[in-house]
Amino acid sequence: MTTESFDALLSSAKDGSDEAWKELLEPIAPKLIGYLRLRGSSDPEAVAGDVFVDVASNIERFSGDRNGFTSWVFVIAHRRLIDEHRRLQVRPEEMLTGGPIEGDVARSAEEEALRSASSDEVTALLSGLTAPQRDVIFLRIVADLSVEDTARVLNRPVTSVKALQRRGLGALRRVVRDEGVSR
Amino acid sequence: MSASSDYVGGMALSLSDHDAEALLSGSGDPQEELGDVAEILSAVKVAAMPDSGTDFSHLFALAARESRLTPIERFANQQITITEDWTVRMIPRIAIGVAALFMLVATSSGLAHAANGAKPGDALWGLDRALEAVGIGNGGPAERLEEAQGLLAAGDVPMGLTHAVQVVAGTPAGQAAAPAIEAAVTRLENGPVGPDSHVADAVGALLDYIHYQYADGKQVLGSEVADLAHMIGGRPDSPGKSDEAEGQINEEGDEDAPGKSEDAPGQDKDEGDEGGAPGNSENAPGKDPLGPPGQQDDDSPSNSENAPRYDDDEAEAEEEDEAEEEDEAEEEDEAEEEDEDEEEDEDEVEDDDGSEGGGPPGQRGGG
Repeated sequence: MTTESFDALLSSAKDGSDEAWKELLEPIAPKLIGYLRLRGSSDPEAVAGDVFVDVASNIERFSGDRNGFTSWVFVIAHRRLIDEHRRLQVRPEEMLTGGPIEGDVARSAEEEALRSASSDEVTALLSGLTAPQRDVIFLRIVADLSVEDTARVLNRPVTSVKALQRRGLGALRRVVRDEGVSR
Repeated sequence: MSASSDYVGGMALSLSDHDAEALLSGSGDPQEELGDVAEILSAVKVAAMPDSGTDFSHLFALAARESRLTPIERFANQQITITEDWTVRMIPRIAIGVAALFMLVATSSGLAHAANGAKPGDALWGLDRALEAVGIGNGGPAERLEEAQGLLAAGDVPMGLTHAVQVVAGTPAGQAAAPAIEAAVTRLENGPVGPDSHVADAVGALLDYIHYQYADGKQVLGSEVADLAHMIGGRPDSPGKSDEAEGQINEEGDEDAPGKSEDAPGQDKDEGDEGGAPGNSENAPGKDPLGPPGQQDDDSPSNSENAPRYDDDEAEAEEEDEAEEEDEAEEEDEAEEEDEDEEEDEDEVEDDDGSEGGGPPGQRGGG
Protein backbone atom coordinates (compact mmCIF):
# COMPACT_ATOMS: atom_id res chain seq x y z
CA MET A 1 0.00 0.00 0.00
CA THR A 2 1.39 3.33 -1.02
CA THR A 3 1.56 6.29 1.33
CA GLU A 4 -1.12 8.10 -0.64
CA SER A 5 -3.50 5.19 -0.53
CA PHE A 6 -2.92 4.72 3.19
CA ASP A 7 -3.59 8.41 3.81
CA ALA A 8 -6.88 8.08 1.92
CA LEU A 9 -7.76 4.98 3.89
CA LEU A 10 -6.95 6.77 7.11
CA SER A 11 -9.09 9.72 6.11
CA SER A 12 -12.03 7.45 5.37
CA ALA A 13 -11.61 5.71 8.68
CA LYS A 14 -11.65 9.07 10.46
CA ASP A 15 -14.95 9.73 8.71
CA GLY A 16 -16.34 6.53 10.21
CA SER A 17 -16.28 4.28 7.21
CA ASP A 18 -16.85 0.64 8.14
CA GLU A 19 -14.93 -0.55 5.11
CA ALA A 20 -11.99 1.69 5.86
CA TRP A 21 -11.78 0.41 9.42
CA LYS A 22 -11.99 -3.15 8.27
CA GLU A 23 -9.20 -2.58 5.80
CA LEU A 24 -7.13 -0.80 8.43
CA LEU A 25 -7.52 -3.36 11.18
CA GLU A 26 -7.90 -6.65 9.33
CA PRO A 27 -4.15 -7.22 8.88
CA ILE A 28 -3.51 -6.29 12.51
CA ALA A 29 -6.28 -8.19 14.31
CA PRO A 30 -4.77 -11.75 14.13
CA LYS A 31 -1.36 -10.48 15.14
CA LEU A 32 -2.83 -8.46 17.97
CA ILE A 33 -4.87 -11.35 19.32
CA GLY A 34 -1.87 -13.66 18.96
CA TYR A 35 0.32 -11.24 20.85
CA LEU A 36 -2.29 -10.76 23.57
CA ARG A 37 -2.69 -14.50 23.86
CA LEU A 38 1.04 -15.09 24.18
CA ARG A 39 1.29 -12.34 26.75
CA GLY A 40 -1.26 -14.14 28.87
CA SER A 41 -4.31 -11.97 28.40
CA SER A 42 -7.34 -13.52 30.07
CA ASP A 43 -9.64 -12.50 27.18
CA PRO A 44 -7.61 -11.57 24.09
CA GLU A 45 -10.63 -10.71 21.95
CA ALA A 46 -12.13 -8.46 24.57
CA VAL A 47 -8.84 -6.69 25.08
CA ALA A 48 -8.43 -6.39 21.33
CA GLY A 49 -11.89 -4.77 21.16
CA ASP A 50 -10.85 -2.26 23.82
CA VAL A 51 -7.67 -1.55 21.89
CA PHE A 52 -9.58 -0.89 18.70
CA VAL A 53 -11.99 1.41 20.50
CA ASP A 54 -9.01 3.34 21.87
CA VAL A 55 -7.52 3.51 18.39
CA ALA A 56 -10.78 4.78 16.88
CA SER A 57 -11.32 7.39 19.56
CA ASN A 58 -7.79 8.75 19.12
CA ILE A 59 -7.45 8.33 15.37
CA GLU A 60 -7.69 12.09 14.81
CA ARG A 61 -4.31 12.52 16.52
CA PHE A 62 -2.53 9.88 14.46
CA SER A 63 -0.42 10.62 11.43
CA GLY A 64 1.97 8.26 9.70
CA ASP A 65 2.24 5.24 7.45
CA ARG A 66 0.98 1.69 7.75
CA ASN A 67 3.95 0.48 9.84
CA GLY A 68 3.58 3.45 12.12
CA PHE A 69 -0.10 2.70 12.50
CA THR A 70 0.59 -0.94 13.38
CA SER A 71 3.17 -0.08 15.98
CA TRP A 72 0.80 2.55 17.40
CA VAL A 73 -1.90 -0.10 17.81
CA PHE A 74 0.57 -2.33 19.66
CA VAL A 75 1.62 0.55 21.87
CA ILE A 76 -1.98 0.86 22.98
CA ALA A 77 -2.26 -2.92 23.33
CA HIS A 78 0.83 -3.07 25.48
CA ARG A 79 -0.59 -0.45 27.83
CA ARG A 80 -3.90 -2.27 27.94
CA LEU A 81 -2.10 -5.44 28.90
CA ILE A 82 -0.33 -3.67 31.71
CA ASP A 83 -3.67 -2.33 32.94
CA GLU A 84 -5.16 -5.79 32.78
CA HIS A 85 -2.31 -7.33 34.69
CA ARG A 86 -2.63 -4.67 37.33
CA ARG A 87 -6.33 -5.27 37.54
CA LEU A 88 -5.96 -8.99 37.89
CA GLN A 89 -3.00 -8.60 40.20
CA VAL A 90 -1.34 -11.47 38.41
CA ARG A 91 2.15 -11.35 37.10
CA PRO A 92 2.41 -11.93 33.37
CA GLU A 93 5.02 -14.64 33.92
CA GLU A 94 2.62 -16.58 36.08
CA MET A 95 -0.15 -16.19 33.55
CA LEU A 96 2.08 -17.40 30.77
CA THR A 97 3.51 -20.40 32.57
CA GLY A 98 0.29 -21.24 34.39
CA GLY A 99 -0.90 -23.54 31.61
CA PRO A 100 -1.15 -24.03 27.91
CA ILE A 101 -2.08 -21.08 25.76
CA GLU A 102 -5.79 -21.21 25.25
CA GLY A 103 -7.55 -19.97 22.20
CA ASP A 104 -11.12 -18.90 21.92
CA VAL A 105 -11.44 -19.28 18.20
CA ALA A 106 -13.35 -22.19 16.77
CA ARG A 107 -11.04 -24.81 15.33
CA SER A 108 -11.28 -28.25 13.93
CA ALA A 109 -10.49 -31.20 16.19
CA GLU A 110 -7.30 -31.91 14.28
CA GLU A 111 -6.15 -28.34 14.53
CA GLU A 112 -7.08 -28.28 18.20
CA ALA A 113 -5.01 -31.34 18.99
CA LEU A 114 -2.08 -30.06 17.03
CA ARG A 115 -2.34 -26.63 18.56
CA SER A 116 -2.64 -27.99 22.07
CA ALA A 117 0.50 -30.06 21.77
CA SER A 118 2.26 -27.15 20.18
CA SER A 119 1.10 -24.77 22.90
CA ASP A 120 2.35 -27.00 25.67
CA GLU A 121 5.71 -27.26 24.04
CA VAL A 122 5.91 -23.55 23.34
CA THR A 123 4.94 -22.69 26.89
CA ALA A 124 7.63 -24.98 28.24
CA LEU A 125 10.22 -23.57 25.90
CA LEU A 126 9.41 -19.95 26.56
CA SER A 127 9.38 -20.34 30.30
CA GLY A 128 13.16 -20.14 30.23
CA LEU A 129 13.08 -16.59 28.88
CA THR A 130 12.73 -13.45 30.87
CA ALA A 131 9.61 -11.33 30.43
CA PRO A 132 11.41 -8.57 28.45
CA GLN A 133 12.98 -11.21 26.20
CA ARG A 134 9.57 -12.73 25.56
CA ASP A 135 8.07 -9.29 24.85
CA VAL A 136 10.68 -8.61 22.20
CA ILE A 137 10.42 -11.99 20.54
CA PHE A 138 6.62 -11.98 20.53
CA LEU A 139 6.46 -8.52 18.98
CA ARG A 140 9.06 -9.47 16.39
CA ILE A 141 7.67 -12.81 15.27
CA VAL A 142 3.92 -12.48 15.95
CA ALA A 143 3.30 -8.78 15.35
CA ASP A 144 5.97 -8.63 12.65
CA LEU A 145 7.30 -5.40 14.06
CA SER A 146 10.76 -4.12 13.24
CA VAL A 147 13.40 -3.55 15.88
CA GLU A 148 12.61 0.15 15.83
CA ASP A 149 8.84 -0.36 16.16
CA THR A 150 9.38 -2.93 18.92
CA ALA A 151 11.56 -0.43 20.76
CA ARG A 152 8.78 2.12 20.42
CA VAL A 153 6.12 -0.25 21.76
CA LEU A 154 8.21 -1.30 24.73
CA ASN A 155 9.58 2.21 25.26
CA ARG A 156 13.12 0.90 25.21
CA PRO A 157 16.24 1.94 23.29
CA VAL A 158 16.87 0.08 20.06
CA THR A 159 20.15 -1.25 21.41
CA SER A 160 18.33 -2.67 24.38
CA VAL A 161 15.84 -4.42 22.13
CA LYS A 162 18.64 -5.87 20.06
CA ALA A 163 20.39 -7.17 23.14
CA LEU A 164 17.16 -8.65 24.46
CA GLN A 165 16.39 -10.50 21.25
CA ARG A 166 19.96 -11.79 21.05
CA ARG A 167 19.86 -13.15 24.56
CA GLY A 168 16.34 -14.48 24.20
CA LEU A 169 17.24 -16.45 21.12
CA GLY A 170 20.41 -17.65 22.84
CA ALA A 171 18.29 -18.91 25.72
CA LEU A 172 16.00 -20.70 23.30
CA ARG A 173 19.00 -22.27 21.63
CA ARG A 174 20.24 -23.45 25.00
CA VAL A 175 16.85 -24.97 25.80
CA VAL A 176 16.86 -26.84 22.49
CA ARG A 177 20.35 -28.12 23.10
CA ASP A 178 19.52 -29.23 26.64
CA GLU A 179 16.44 -31.06 25.45
CA GLY A 180 18.48 -32.68 22.71
CA VAL A 181 21.01 -33.87 25.24
CA SER A 182 18.30 -35.17 27.54
CA ARG A 183 16.70 -37.02 24.70
CA MET B 1 24.98 -13.22 30.36
CA SER B 2 28.13 -14.74 31.77
CA ALA B 3 30.72 -16.36 29.55
CA SER B 4 30.09 -19.77 31.07
CA SER B 5 26.41 -19.60 30.26
CA ASP B 6 27.17 -18.55 26.73
CA TYR B 7 29.11 -21.73 26.05
CA VAL B 8 27.65 -25.19 26.40
CA GLY B 9 29.73 -28.13 25.32
CA GLY B 10 32.25 -25.79 23.74
CA MET B 11 29.68 -24.25 21.43
CA ALA B 12 28.89 -20.57 21.55
CA LEU B 13 25.20 -20.04 22.36
CA SER B 14 25.06 -16.27 22.04
CA LEU B 15 23.91 -14.99 18.69
CA SER B 16 25.06 -12.19 16.49
CA ASP B 17 22.69 -9.39 15.55
CA HIS B 18 22.69 -10.73 12.02
CA ASP B 19 21.62 -14.21 13.05
CA ALA B 20 19.01 -12.84 15.43
CA GLU B 21 17.56 -10.60 12.76
CA ALA B 22 17.54 -13.44 10.26
CA LEU B 23 15.67 -15.69 12.69
CA LEU B 24 13.10 -13.09 13.76
CA SER B 25 12.35 -11.39 10.48
CA GLY B 26 12.73 -14.45 8.30
CA SER B 27 15.04 -12.57 5.97
CA GLY B 28 18.49 -13.88 5.31
CA ASP B 29 19.99 -17.23 6.20
CA PRO B 30 20.82 -17.95 9.78
CA GLN B 31 23.44 -20.49 10.70
CA GLU B 32 22.46 -24.06 10.15
CA GLU B 33 22.71 -24.92 13.81
CA LEU B 34 20.04 -22.33 14.46
CA GLY B 35 17.48 -24.35 12.58
CA ASP B 36 16.00 -25.72 15.80
CA VAL B 37 15.48 -22.21 17.10
CA ALA B 38 13.75 -21.23 13.87
CA GLU B 39 11.40 -24.17 14.31
CA ILE B 40 10.57 -23.09 17.83
CA LEU B 41 9.80 -19.57 16.67
CA SER B 42 7.50 -20.95 14.00
CA ALA B 43 5.76 -23.10 16.57
CA VAL B 44 5.27 -20.07 18.78
CA LYS B 45 3.69 -18.15 15.97
CA VAL B 46 1.42 -21.05 15.02
CA ALA B 47 0.34 -21.54 18.59
CA ALA B 48 -0.46 -17.89 19.10
CA MET B 49 -2.09 -16.85 15.86
CA PRO B 50 -5.81 -17.46 15.41
CA ASP B 51 -7.09 -19.38 12.46
CA SER B 52 -6.83 -17.64 9.16
CA GLY B 53 -10.57 -17.80 8.60
CA THR B 54 -11.53 -16.22 11.91
CA ASP B 55 -13.98 -13.39 11.54
CA PHE B 56 -13.11 -10.26 13.44
CA SER B 57 -15.69 -8.06 11.73
CA HIS B 58 -17.38 -7.29 15.04
CA LEU B 59 -14.15 -5.76 16.28
CA PHE B 60 -13.83 -3.63 13.17
CA ALA B 61 -17.45 -2.51 13.47
CA LEU B 62 -16.75 -1.56 17.06
CA ALA B 63 -13.92 0.68 15.96
CA ALA B 64 -15.97 2.21 13.14
CA ARG B 65 -18.86 2.99 15.48
CA GLU B 66 -16.49 4.58 17.95
CA SER B 67 -15.00 6.76 15.24
CA ARG B 68 -18.43 8.11 14.35
CA LEU B 69 -19.20 9.28 17.85
CA THR B 70 -19.26 12.97 18.54
CA PRO B 71 -16.87 14.23 21.19
CA ILE B 72 -19.75 14.58 23.65
CA GLU B 73 -20.94 11.03 23.04
CA ARG B 74 -17.40 9.79 23.30
CA PHE B 75 -16.97 11.70 26.56
CA ALA B 76 -20.14 10.11 27.90
CA ASN B 77 -18.84 6.68 26.99
CA GLN B 78 -15.51 7.48 28.53
CA GLN B 79 -17.24 8.06 31.85
CA ILE B 80 -18.13 4.39 31.86
CA THR B 81 -14.70 3.41 30.72
CA ILE B 82 -12.98 5.68 33.16
CA THR B 83 -14.68 4.03 36.08
CA GLU B 84 -12.67 0.96 35.29
CA ASP B 85 -9.42 2.85 35.41
CA TRP B 86 -7.34 2.19 38.47
CA THR B 87 -6.85 5.89 39.15
CA VAL B 88 -10.59 6.36 39.36
CA ARG B 89 -10.94 3.31 41.54
CA MET B 90 -8.45 4.91 43.87
CA ILE B 91 -10.63 8.00 44.32
CA PRO B 92 -12.78 6.54 47.12
CA ARG B 93 -9.71 5.29 48.90
CA ILE B 94 -8.00 8.66 48.52
CA ALA B 95 -11.14 10.40 49.76
CA ILE B 96 -11.30 8.12 52.75
CA GLY B 97 -7.63 8.71 53.43
CA VAL B 98 -8.02 12.48 53.20
CA ALA B 99 -11.06 12.36 55.46
CA ALA B 100 -9.22 10.20 57.95
CA LEU B 101 -6.26 12.55 57.85
CA PHE B 102 -8.55 15.53 58.37
CA MET B 103 -10.24 13.85 61.30
CA LEU B 104 -6.88 12.93 62.76
CA VAL B 105 -5.67 16.50 62.53
CA ALA B 106 -8.93 17.86 63.90
CA THR B 107 -8.95 15.38 66.74
CA SER B 108 -5.33 16.07 67.52
CA SER B 109 -5.93 19.81 67.52
CA GLY B 110 -8.97 19.48 69.75
CA LEU B 111 -7.15 17.12 72.03
CA ALA B 112 -4.16 19.43 72.23
CA HIS B 113 -6.47 22.36 72.97
CA ALA B 114 -8.26 20.41 75.66
CA ALA B 115 -5.00 19.16 77.10
CA ASN B 116 -3.65 22.70 77.34
CA GLY B 117 -6.02 23.44 80.19
CA ALA B 118 -5.36 20.22 82.04
CA LYS B 119 -4.13 20.24 85.60
CA PRO B 120 -1.95 17.60 87.27
CA GLY B 121 -4.06 14.59 87.99
CA ASP B 122 -6.28 15.17 84.97
CA ALA B 123 -6.41 12.53 82.27
CA LEU B 124 -4.89 14.92 79.75
CA TRP B 125 -2.18 16.23 82.03
CA GLY B 126 0.47 13.92 80.61
CA LEU B 127 -0.47 14.96 77.09
CA ASP B 128 -0.35 18.61 78.11
CA ARG B 129 3.18 18.27 79.43
CA ALA B 130 4.26 16.20 76.46
CA LEU B 131 2.97 18.84 74.06
CA GLU B 132 4.58 21.60 76.07
CA ALA B 133 7.84 19.71 75.95
CA VAL B 134 7.82 20.03 72.18
CA GLY B 135 6.73 23.66 72.30
CA ILE B 136 3.00 23.23 71.71
CA GLY B 137 0.74 25.19 74.02
CA ASN B 138 3.48 26.00 76.45
CA GLY B 139 2.19 28.94 78.45
CA GLY B 140 5.32 29.06 80.56
CA PRO B 141 5.33 30.24 84.15
CA ALA B 142 1.94 31.93 83.82
CA GLU B 143 0.34 28.64 82.84
CA ARG B 144 2.16 26.81 85.63
CA LEU B 145 0.88 29.34 88.14
CA GLU B 146 -2.65 29.14 86.81
CA GLU B 147 -2.55 25.39 87.08
CA ALA B 148 -1.19 25.69 90.60
CA GLN B 149 -4.00 28.07 91.50
CA GLY B 150 -6.48 25.62 90.09
CA LEU B 151 -5.00 22.82 92.11
CA LEU B 152 -5.13 24.92 95.22
CA ALA B 153 -8.72 25.86 94.58
CA ALA B 154 -9.49 22.19 94.09
CA GLY B 155 -8.03 21.46 97.50
CA ASP B 156 -4.87 19.77 96.34
CA VAL B 157 -2.52 21.94 98.32
CA PRO B 158 0.61 19.77 98.13
CA MET B 159 0.38 19.40 94.36
CA GLY B 160 -0.34 23.10 94.04
CA LEU B 161 2.81 23.93 95.90
CA THR B 162 5.03 21.45 94.09
CA HIS B 163 3.60 22.71 90.84
CA ALA B 164 4.22 26.34 91.72
CA VAL B 165 7.78 25.89 92.83
CA GLN B 166 8.56 24.53 89.39
CA VAL B 167 8.16 28.08 88.19
CA VAL B 168 11.04 29.31 90.28
CA ALA B 169 13.04 26.10 90.10
CA GLY B 170 16.36 26.81 88.49
CA THR B 171 16.08 30.56 88.97
CA PRO B 172 18.31 32.45 91.41
CA ALA B 173 15.30 33.01 93.62
CA GLY B 174 14.49 29.33 93.59
CA GLN B 175 18.04 28.41 94.40
CA ALA B 176 18.22 30.93 97.21
CA ALA B 177 14.97 29.67 98.69
CA ALA B 178 15.65 26.03 97.97
CA PRO B 179 15.98 24.90 101.60
CA ALA B 180 12.80 26.68 102.62
CA ILE B 181 10.95 25.29 99.61
CA GLU B 182 12.18 21.83 100.36
CA ALA B 183 11.04 22.15 103.94
CA ALA B 184 7.66 23.37 102.80
CA VAL B 185 7.26 20.52 100.38
CA THR B 186 8.34 18.07 103.03
CA ARG B 187 5.87 19.59 105.41
CA LEU B 188 3.03 19.05 102.99
CA GLU B 189 4.17 15.57 102.15
CA ASN B 190 4.23 14.51 105.78
CA GLY B 191 0.68 15.29 106.66
CA PRO B 192 -2.72 16.12 105.28
CA VAL B 193 -3.49 19.76 104.71
CA GLY B 194 -7.03 21.02 104.58
CA PRO B 195 -8.00 23.47 101.87
CA ASP B 196 -9.11 25.99 104.50
CA SER B 197 -6.04 25.65 106.63
CA HIS B 198 -3.47 28.33 107.12
CA VAL B 199 -1.00 26.23 105.24
CA ALA B 200 -3.24 26.46 102.21
CA ASP B 201 -3.42 30.20 102.76
CA ALA B 202 0.31 30.37 102.89
CA VAL B 203 0.68 28.37 99.72
CA GLY B 204 -1.80 30.73 98.13
CA ALA B 205 0.23 33.67 99.33
CA LEU B 206 3.34 32.17 97.78
CA LEU B 207 1.54 31.63 94.53
CA ASP B 208 0.14 35.14 94.58
CA TYR B 209 3.53 36.62 95.21
CA ILE B 210 5.16 34.74 92.34
CA HIS B 211 2.18 35.38 90.10
CA TYR B 212 2.12 39.14 90.65
CA GLN B 213 5.86 39.47 90.36
CA TYR B 214 5.70 37.73 87.01
CA ALA B 215 2.65 39.69 85.93
CA ASP B 216 4.30 42.97 86.82
CA GLY B 217 7.57 41.96 85.26
CA LYS B 218 9.32 42.27 88.55
CA GLN B 219 12.03 40.06 89.85
CA VAL B 220 11.07 37.22 92.13
CA LEU B 221 13.17 37.61 95.24
CA GLY B 222 14.62 34.55 96.84
CA SER B 223 14.24 36.07 100.28
CA GLU B 224 10.54 36.64 99.77
CA VAL B 225 10.03 33.16 98.44
CA ALA B 226 11.98 31.78 101.37
CA ASP B 227 9.92 33.75 103.88
CA LEU B 228 6.68 32.55 102.37
CA ALA B 229 8.00 29.02 102.18
CA HIS B 230 8.97 29.27 105.84
CA MET B 231 5.37 30.11 106.58
CA ILE B 232 4.50 26.77 105.09
CA GLY B 233 7.26 24.56 106.28
CA GLY B 234 8.32 26.45 109.39
CA ARG B 235 11.65 27.99 110.10
CA PRO B 236 14.61 25.76 110.62
CA ASP B 237 15.17 24.99 114.28
CA SER B 238 18.15 26.35 116.09
CA PRO B 239 19.74 23.55 118.10
CA GLY B 240 20.62 25.85 120.98
CA LYS B 241 17.12 27.21 121.22
CA SER B 242 15.57 23.81 121.09
CA ASP B 243 17.68 22.67 123.97
CA GLU B 244 16.74 25.70 125.90
CA ALA B 245 13.05 25.18 125.25
CA GLU B 246 13.31 21.56 126.17
CA GLY B 247 14.93 22.48 129.38
CA GLN B 248 12.14 24.88 130.18
CA ILE B 249 9.53 22.25 129.52
CA ASN B 250 11.27 19.77 131.71
CA GLU B 251 11.43 22.22 134.54
CA GLU B 252 8.01 23.73 134.30
CA GLY B 253 5.86 21.00 132.83
CA ASP B 254 3.14 22.18 130.55
CA GLU B 255 3.17 25.67 131.92
CA ASP B 256 4.20 28.54 129.76
CA ALA B 257 7.75 29.23 129.04
CA PRO B 258 9.31 31.93 131.17
CA GLY B 259 9.55 34.42 128.42
CA LYS B 260 5.99 33.81 127.45
CA SER B 261 4.70 34.29 130.90
CA GLU B 262 6.44 37.56 131.11
CA ASP B 263 5.28 38.74 127.76
CA ALA B 264 1.68 37.69 128.15
CA PRO B 265 0.66 38.33 131.69
CA GLY B 266 -2.86 37.77 132.83
CA GLN B 267 -3.63 35.03 130.35
CA ASP B 268 -3.96 31.47 131.37
CA LYS B 269 -5.15 28.33 129.68
CA ASP B 270 -8.56 28.44 131.18
CA GLU B 271 -9.21 31.79 129.64
CA GLY B 272 -7.92 30.59 126.37
CA ASP B 273 -10.18 27.59 126.39
CA GLU B 274 -13.24 29.43 127.46
CA GLY B 275 -12.69 32.22 125.04
CA GLY B 276 -13.29 30.03 122.05
CA ALA B 277 -9.83 29.21 120.98
CA PRO B 278 -10.74 27.89 117.53
CA GLY B 279 -12.25 31.15 116.50
CA ASN B 280 -9.37 33.07 117.87
CA SER B 281 -6.89 30.88 116.20
CA GLU B 282 -8.40 31.64 112.84
CA ASN B 283 -8.70 35.32 113.32
CA ALA B 284 -5.70 36.07 115.36
CA PRO B 285 -3.87 38.93 113.65
CA GLY B 286 -0.21 38.52 113.20
CA LYS B 287 -0.29 34.96 114.29
CA ASP B 288 2.03 32.70 112.42
CA PRO B 289 -0.45 30.31 110.86
CA LEU B 290 2.21 27.97 109.75
CA GLY B 291 3.76 26.14 112.57
CA PRO B 292 5.93 23.10 112.27
CA PRO B 293 4.51 19.84 111.01
CA GLY B 294 2.03 18.30 113.37
CA GLN B 295 0.75 21.57 114.60
CA GLN B 296 -0.81 22.98 111.49
CA ASP B 297 -3.61 20.49 111.33
CA ASP B 298 -4.59 21.46 114.78
CA ASP B 299 -5.09 25.04 113.68
CA SER B 300 -8.04 24.02 111.63
CA PRO B 301 -11.32 24.39 113.50
CA SER B 302 -12.47 21.07 112.24
CA ASN B 303 -9.30 19.49 113.37
CA SER B 304 -9.65 21.17 116.72
CA GLU B 305 -13.07 19.67 117.12
CA ASN B 306 -12.05 16.21 116.11
CA ALA B 307 -8.64 16.07 117.52
CA PRO B 308 -8.35 13.88 120.59
CA ARG B 309 -5.59 16.06 121.96
CA TYR B 310 -7.43 18.71 123.89
CA ASP B 311 -4.43 20.80 124.70
CA ASP B 312 -4.41 22.07 121.20
CA ASP B 313 -6.72 24.86 122.17
CA GLU B 314 -4.36 25.79 124.86
CA ALA B 315 -1.55 25.76 122.43
CA GLU B 316 -3.46 27.93 120.06
CA ALA B 317 -4.25 30.39 122.76
CA GLU B 318 -0.64 30.49 123.64
CA GLU B 319 0.29 31.05 120.09
CA GLU B 320 -2.16 33.88 119.82
CA ASP B 321 -0.70 35.44 122.84
CA GLU B 322 2.68 35.14 121.38
CA ALA B 323 1.54 36.50 118.10
CA GLU B 324 0.17 39.53 119.78
CA GLU B 325 3.33 39.80 121.68
CA GLU B 326 5.29 39.68 118.53
CA ASP B 327 3.62 42.81 117.37
CA GLU B 328 4.70 44.49 120.48
CA ALA B 329 8.01 42.79 120.86
CA GLU B 330 11.10 44.78 120.33
CA GLU B 331 13.00 41.89 118.86
CA GLU B 332 11.29 39.68 116.37
CA ASP B 333 13.92 37.02 116.52
CA GLU B 334 13.23 36.38 120.12
CA ALA B 335 9.55 36.00 119.40
CA GLU B 336 10.20 33.52 116.66
CA GLU B 337 12.49 31.56 118.85
CA GLU B 338 9.78 31.52 121.40
CA ASP B 339 7.37 30.21 118.82
CA GLU B 340 9.62 27.37 118.09
CA ASP B 341 10.24 26.73 121.71
CA GLU B 342 6.56 26.79 122.42
CA GLU B 343 5.90 24.36 119.68
CA GLU B 344 8.31 21.98 121.14
CA ASP B 345 6.83 22.58 124.51
CA GLU B 346 3.43 21.80 123.18
CA ASP B 347 4.61 18.52 121.91
CA GLU B 348 5.86 17.77 125.31
CA VAL B 349 2.62 18.94 126.85
CA GLU B 350 0.65 16.74 124.54
CA ASP B 351 2.69 13.79 125.58
CA ASP B 352 2.08 14.63 129.19
CA ASP B 353 -1.61 14.98 128.61
CA GLY B 354 -1.73 11.71 126.91
CA SER B 355 -0.16 10.05 129.84
CA GLU B 356 -2.74 11.58 132.07
CA GLY B 357 -5.58 10.23 130.06
CA GLY B 358 -6.63 13.59 128.63
CA GLY B 359 -10.04 15.13 128.83
CA PRO B 360 -12.13 17.96 127.57
CA PRO B 361 -10.52 21.37 127.65
CA GLY B 362 -12.83 22.61 130.32
CA GLN B 363 -12.28 19.65 132.50
CA ARG B 364 -8.58 19.71 132.10
CA GLY B 365 -8.35 23.44 132.51
CA GLY B 366 -10.56 23.33 135.52
CA GLY B 367 -8.69 20.41 137.05
